[in-house]
Amino acid sequence: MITINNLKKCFGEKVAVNIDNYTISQGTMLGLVGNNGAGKTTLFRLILDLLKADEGEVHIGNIDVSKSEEWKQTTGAFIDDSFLIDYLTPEEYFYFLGRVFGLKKEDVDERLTPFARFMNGEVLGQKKLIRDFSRGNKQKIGIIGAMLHRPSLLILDEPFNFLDPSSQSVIKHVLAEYNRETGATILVSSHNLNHTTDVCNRIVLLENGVVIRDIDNSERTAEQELESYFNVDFTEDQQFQELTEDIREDEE
Amino acid sequence: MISAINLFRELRHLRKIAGKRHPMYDQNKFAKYLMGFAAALWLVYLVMFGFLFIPMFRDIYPSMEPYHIFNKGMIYLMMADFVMRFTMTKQPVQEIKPFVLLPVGKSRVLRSYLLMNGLSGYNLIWMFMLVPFGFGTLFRYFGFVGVLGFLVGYWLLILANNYWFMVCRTLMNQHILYLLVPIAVYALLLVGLLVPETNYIGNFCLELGEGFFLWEWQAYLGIIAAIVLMFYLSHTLQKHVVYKELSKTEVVKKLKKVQDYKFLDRFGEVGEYMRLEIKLLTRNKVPRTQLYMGLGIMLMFSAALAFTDVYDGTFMRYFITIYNFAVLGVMVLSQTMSYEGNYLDGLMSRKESILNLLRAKYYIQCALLLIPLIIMVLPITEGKISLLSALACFFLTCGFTFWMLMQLAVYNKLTLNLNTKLTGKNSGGSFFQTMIIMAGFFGPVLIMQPLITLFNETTALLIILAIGLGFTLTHPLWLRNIYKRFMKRRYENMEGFRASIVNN
Repeated sequence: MITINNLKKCFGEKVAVNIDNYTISQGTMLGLVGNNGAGKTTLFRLILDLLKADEGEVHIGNIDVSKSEEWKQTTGAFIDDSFLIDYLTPEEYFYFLGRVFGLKKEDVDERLTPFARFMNGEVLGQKKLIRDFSRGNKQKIGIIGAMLHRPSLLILDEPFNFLDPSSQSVIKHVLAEYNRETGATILVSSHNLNHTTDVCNRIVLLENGVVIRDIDNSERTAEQELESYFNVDFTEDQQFQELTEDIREDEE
Repeated sequence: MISAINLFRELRHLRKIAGKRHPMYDQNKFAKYLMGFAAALWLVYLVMFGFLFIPMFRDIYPSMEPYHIFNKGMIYLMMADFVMRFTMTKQPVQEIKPFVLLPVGKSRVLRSYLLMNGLSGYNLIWMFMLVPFGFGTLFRYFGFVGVLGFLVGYWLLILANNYWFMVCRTLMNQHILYLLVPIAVYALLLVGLLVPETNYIGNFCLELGEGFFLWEWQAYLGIIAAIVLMFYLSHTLQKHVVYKELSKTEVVKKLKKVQDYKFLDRFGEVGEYMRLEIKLLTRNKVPRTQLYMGLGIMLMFSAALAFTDVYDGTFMRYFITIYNFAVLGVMVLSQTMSYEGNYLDGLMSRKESILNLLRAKYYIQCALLLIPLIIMVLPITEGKISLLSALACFFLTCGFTFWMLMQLAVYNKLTLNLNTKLTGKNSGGSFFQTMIIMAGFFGPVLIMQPLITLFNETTALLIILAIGLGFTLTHPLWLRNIYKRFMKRRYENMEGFRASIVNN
């Protein structure tokens, strides 16, 4: 369970995150959506103790993340390339992570098997350093690295970015399956409303660092609400109306 | 369409703010001051040369006027200028990218950049030498007009050299073998200058220089023609390679063999981080260069200690012995965490990974110290230094010096690019970092010298050995202390690393 209490983070004048109280119970698959600069990544960094909160705190279980490191054993995250050690090969990176979490080489190999389809034969056995992979494959390496030790809390920032359509579909299934199998809490941020609503049973809409909607998506009904929020209403825009009329006339 | 003059202004403005807004600019102020000081010193030297050449040339060649000698040797000036440009002159083709899709024309942008390079203040640097020399030698014979002609002529010559350099540099960017072009040209010119039978070059230079201060139109026409030719060549070449530069993709090299360093398995989690440290040092250009440079210096000084009498004084002998042990550690450990800044978020999301990383770094550096210790066998067997002094210096380095250097793990907060060369943006550090590096080199000798004065040499060495052993044996304690202090400052440091990771 994640508990957020009076969490506030500002960058100069701009309030990046300002959340009074918020709780995410174990096993939730939560999608974080919002426009650019809404504070999604900042919130993730605060949860992962990669940023200092100006006020408030985050608890993972009973642990205040800024006071102890114990929560790191059961948390996996991938936010950006700064999580990747890019002068290692993917295999070396996975084995490195495995050993850090006390896994044997064979265990790592076994845990990589379910990701075979996701890797699509382009990641393992390439004898290439991570820095020489494409953005999409780096994204895959980061996601797999975050899941390798089977964390009970998984945090992924924009996991669908840079992935080809097939891989986007595969990762959705992988995440849903992982959540179902392990009961892990999964936090995913994305600009892609379809993917987020497909996979998450709770959606949080963040704007200017504030939670403005908390939508139950267990019946997969959040997409409509989100679309109506994000779609700009042009019906009262005179110029837009004239333009569409012109187009219609041209077509006729 | 934007006019040529406005385009020139815009591009000059962009180039100006590009330097000022670089993330390293504010963070590295001390390095900037240091570089400014070095540049000022260099200019003072140039002025000094300008004055010193006059009596020097008079002494060596009493039958000739110093300005004749200077003109005869203008090739040397051009060569020095050419070499210095490797670190200073920017290639327009590297800056053209944002403009290719704008309706301004690649040629116009290129021409503006080339013109900017020509008008750069850098091309006036040699004036610090030429002005005192010109006034000291030409003024009394040819007056102010003569000196002015001399200065204008040399400025044009340096301008031609500037565009000649750009031609060569563009070629060299295509293939390093093109380095042979300027080497061959300057070698031929030197042969022409130095072989008495064929001293056409020397005579030509003498005539050309004379043409400058006598304001002869042929000399100016010749040099302006050379500038136009080099400008045209540079422009044509850069235009030709611009597409190549724009679509430049680095060839991804596959690893022939992926090293596993299995023997490190026995050290558990720390062994894993040691493996990481070895790969950091061997797979990335900047740390690898440091490693090789450090090892090279070690070999050089050890050989000098063993086979020559250069370092026979007590102070110098100990300084070199200490330097020999410390050089690699100083190079690598002074950057502790700065390389890791590239993937710090990943490390920070794993429990105590920084502590294990620090341990691994320490053990790897201690292991590397065995190399100079083994090399020291040579001077020991030669009787140049005693076994006791080698051991004392060894332990002082892996105890005291490393303890001092690793404190920087708490204070370093700038990410260093692992594969950008050490020149330019990646060099320089904070004031504190520089102080620690200086202390790493000079601190041990400053401790040793008073001890030798107070007691005899053997007692002093035994005390040093005890200090070194004390620090070495207590390393688990002080490494944990560094880790705890790092964790206290983690937010500030992470912010710094993150801010400097962009485009560094």
